[in-house]
Amino acid sequence: MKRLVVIAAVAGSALIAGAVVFGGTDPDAVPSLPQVTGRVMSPFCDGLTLDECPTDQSARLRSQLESMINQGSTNREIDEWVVDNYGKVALATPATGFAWLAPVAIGVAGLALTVVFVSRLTSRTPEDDPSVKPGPGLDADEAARVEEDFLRYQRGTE
Amino acid sequence: MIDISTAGRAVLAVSLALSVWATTASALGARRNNRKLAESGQRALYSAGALILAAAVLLVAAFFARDFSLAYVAGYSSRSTTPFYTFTALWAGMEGSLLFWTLLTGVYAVSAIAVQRNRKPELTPVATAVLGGIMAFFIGVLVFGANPFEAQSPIPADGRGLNPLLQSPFMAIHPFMLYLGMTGFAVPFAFAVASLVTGRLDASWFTSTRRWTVLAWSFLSVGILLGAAWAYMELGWGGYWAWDPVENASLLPWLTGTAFLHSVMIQERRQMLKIWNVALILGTYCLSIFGTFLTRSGLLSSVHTFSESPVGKAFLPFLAVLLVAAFGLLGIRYEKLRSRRHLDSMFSREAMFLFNNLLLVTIAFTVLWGTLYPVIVEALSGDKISVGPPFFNTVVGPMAFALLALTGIGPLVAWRRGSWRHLKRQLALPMVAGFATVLALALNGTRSAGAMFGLGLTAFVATATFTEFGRGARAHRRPGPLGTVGGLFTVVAGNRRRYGGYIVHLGVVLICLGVSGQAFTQEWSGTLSPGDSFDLAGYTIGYESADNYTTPEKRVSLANMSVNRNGDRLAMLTPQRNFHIAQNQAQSEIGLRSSLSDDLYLVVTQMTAESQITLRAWANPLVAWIWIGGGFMVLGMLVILSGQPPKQPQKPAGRGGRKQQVAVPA
Repeated sequence: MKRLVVIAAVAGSALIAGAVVFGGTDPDAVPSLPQVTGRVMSPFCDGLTLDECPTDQSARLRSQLESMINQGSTNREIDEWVVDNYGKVALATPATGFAWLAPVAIGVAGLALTVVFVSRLTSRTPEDDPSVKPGPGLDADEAARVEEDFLRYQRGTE
Repeated sequence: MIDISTAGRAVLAVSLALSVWATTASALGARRNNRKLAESGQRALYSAGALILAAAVLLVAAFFARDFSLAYVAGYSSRSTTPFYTFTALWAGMEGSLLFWTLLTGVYAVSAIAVQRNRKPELTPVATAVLGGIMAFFIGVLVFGANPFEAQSPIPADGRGLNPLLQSPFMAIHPFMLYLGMTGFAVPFAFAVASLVTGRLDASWFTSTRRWTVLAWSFLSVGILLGAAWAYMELGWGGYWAWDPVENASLLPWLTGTAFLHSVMIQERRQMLKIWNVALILGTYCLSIFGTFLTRSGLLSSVHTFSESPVGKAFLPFLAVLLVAAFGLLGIRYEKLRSRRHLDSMFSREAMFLFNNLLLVTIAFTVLWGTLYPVIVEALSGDKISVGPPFFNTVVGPMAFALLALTGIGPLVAWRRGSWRHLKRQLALPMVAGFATVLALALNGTRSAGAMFGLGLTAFVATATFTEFGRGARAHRRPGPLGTVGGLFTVVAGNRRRYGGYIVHLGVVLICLGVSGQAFTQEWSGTLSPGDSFDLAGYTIGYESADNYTTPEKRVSLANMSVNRNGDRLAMLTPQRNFHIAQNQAQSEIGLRSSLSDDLYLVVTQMTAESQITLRAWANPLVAWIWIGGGFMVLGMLVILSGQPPKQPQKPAGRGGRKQQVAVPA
């Protein structure tokens, strides 16, 4: 039980760390063109980023952004230029923390609920369970040994 | 002589009346335990289904007759439309696609009731009422809001023709599959509601509809993959998934449907999670309806949406009724559905399925949240914002990795109580494969942590799954030359559901392999004149010449591009920039050279009178594995569906519903 909780905690932390590692953008860094075109929504194609929109206008906007990058514009400067010219709707990444927080909160709450739910189910005594017939009972080591024997049997090594 | 418009309207009106009667008579039949009423309801449902089929046939006939007196026919076909696309124009626009959706719902409803009425007579009347109600809603929308038989005057000499983007074999089949998937969930939904209404809350509702659920899920999976293939081949941006609102809408029921197909196994084996399973399947169908609402309401902008129409708004109250009625019933039956079973261990297959469900549902929530967040913000503050791929990749990515890991680990953990020692031994080889992959990538100069993690995980899960096949095959090894291979066939044939599931897992692994290749994509863009060339990912791509010509439908500007590697000519690609005359619309046709290692993808975005082209080129590694993975998923689903349906638990005498033809709601 403790081991599983530790694993769940590590997994949860890994997920959050992963999100930070994969999602972080340094506002003062000079980005590459794909980084920018992947996070700017095209004003010329519904629902597509600048990277994805195949129109001529998008090609011209990509060229414009490329020249800004070549002149050393940072992430922050490029985002500000995009918002000034096309509005907040042109940024594919929501700026508010709430947008990001809600799925993480749901995930963490769900994980906690699942762990609590499973531990409640495991703490029920077999006597409460109508499916369990009274039997000799096995402790964890014996159960593991039986499973080992079964697997050896299944592999046909005996 | 009656014209097609009048005939079509009449057929729809009668089918509406019949589906309303199907609902009323079946519900009353169930309520009053009146067999005749219930049977009348069933017959009305069959008749409504037949009339919807007749309406679809009429519309197709109008398309082939080039009857431009119908606004829908004139809007989506022309005299030059090929027979294949003349047929697929049936579902190219809002009205026709609604008729097609209704037809598929009708086919499912009629087939399911015809099959189940003798097997599950206690559930069939209420299920008929639910399915009839769903059909009545859709036919009502057709009759009062989006009638494909609307006549127009004056009658144009020719139609506008089909949108060039829709003139693709993938787009012809993709909506068909997607609709088959989304409408198919109506069957388990109806039987789940029937079990809640009648109070027959045992496993029979899902054992009797399991195949329908698997079928619907399979079609939806194929539909989503075909949509990705269409985007890749037709939209010309080098990718296949854009986290577009409509793509997301199709993913939502797939995610919850996948969760259901896993968690239902716990109920089958342990009679646990009854509430959760009912909630999942109710939610899955509601998400299907939500998806069609998103596509038709104009609420969100997408390359896939139909034009904004008032009929979209009709879906919202319908969705509200479905949600309130279905989950209200679930609330009423909550106590009866509660399980008193216990779980032997946190470390068991059951617990693994629960964590799998947690991840799938959290991903579904994230996708729903990201899709609706702009609408919520606009409603609350008036600000227009976007939520695009960076958000979804960041939040969904890590959860998808965790889910993939569970795909490998879950099947190795025993039911009831797993053994750590056993698992460690089982995981040794997959772990070695995973770490070896990461090491090989690092030595090869890969620096993308996401790609290394994704590919390492892919190797881990693939090895774990192959190990499972290997263990089964060795245990059933046959004497003689076929040996282990024969054992493999024996074990797969003996437990098709389990091993079909593993084949589906392998398909998922291959899709992940293809998606991981995205981290190594290389791109080039620029302008070229004939005779120019450039290098990309080891290829030398030369612009040889341009061809310009005109057909009755379009003006074609074609670039002849040679693809060479190490001095050898590999291919001649011909990306095009075309102008479709009837639609007054420019569109690029890609040039593609596909191999198992990578795709070379060329798009001409502009061509001048002097034959100078603006070109975007991508070298996309491993993309072909996404489509191969899709093939594995289809194979796995066929293996699952070819198996025998699970035996239903025998009921004690006197408590079953078989003697009773019509159940009285409890």
